Amino acid sequence: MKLHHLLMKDMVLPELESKDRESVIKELVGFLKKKNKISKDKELFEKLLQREQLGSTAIGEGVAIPHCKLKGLKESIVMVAISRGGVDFFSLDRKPTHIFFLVVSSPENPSLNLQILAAIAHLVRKSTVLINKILEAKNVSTVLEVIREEEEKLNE
Amino acid sequence: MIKKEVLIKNKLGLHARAAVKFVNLANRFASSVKIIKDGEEIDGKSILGILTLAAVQGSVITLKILGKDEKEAFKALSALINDKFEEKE
Repeated sequence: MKLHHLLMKDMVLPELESKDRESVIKELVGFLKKKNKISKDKELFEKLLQREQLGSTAIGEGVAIPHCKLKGLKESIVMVAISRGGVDFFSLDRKPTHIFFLVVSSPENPSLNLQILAAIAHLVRKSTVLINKILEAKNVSTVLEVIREEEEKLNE
Repeated sequence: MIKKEVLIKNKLGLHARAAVKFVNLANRFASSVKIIKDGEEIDGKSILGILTLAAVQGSVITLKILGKDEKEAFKALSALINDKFEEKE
């Protein structure tokens, strides 16, 4: 499974404005609501926040993978949001988080959810330039291009 | 060195929170902890590494542990997996 196949063109938020955990989650959920990807925005906000409170999904390297399951979803949602300034997302290495990969999936398919997380983890772990290149990208299409290119390099 | 297979029993598989629990526990031991699945070997003390395995319910992983406290480490880590990471299902 490849991240660049799952990531739709309209699912990149290049300039996150929020500076703290709760408002980042709110901004991510608001973005999805505006794009009509979800209707239960309040429920999603609460689930994502609860998940973070159980243990941060900011796994280090400037990356967080906030995720949860939401009933009634037709297909999994994958979104990327970028914070140039960085956010304190309670990361495990205490460094600020710059790139957010949000994954919302249906509870009926836990294996698909794991495969999406694996695709993201694989890319973040193997690509040494990914984060810097994403932060340097000037627009959405460059972000998508960087992800596709870096992911294709993994198979070489 | 201890090298043994363990079955992933919990419904959600080796998902992010389970991976964090595993890594936190593994880090309490001096031994090196590796996980092997489908020929891929990763560092069992790396959350990203564990997530790349996409070890769903029913999959079999191999724990490869090497060091002076390898016995204790294997006992604790396999107990965590067998205990479904303290999850209900």
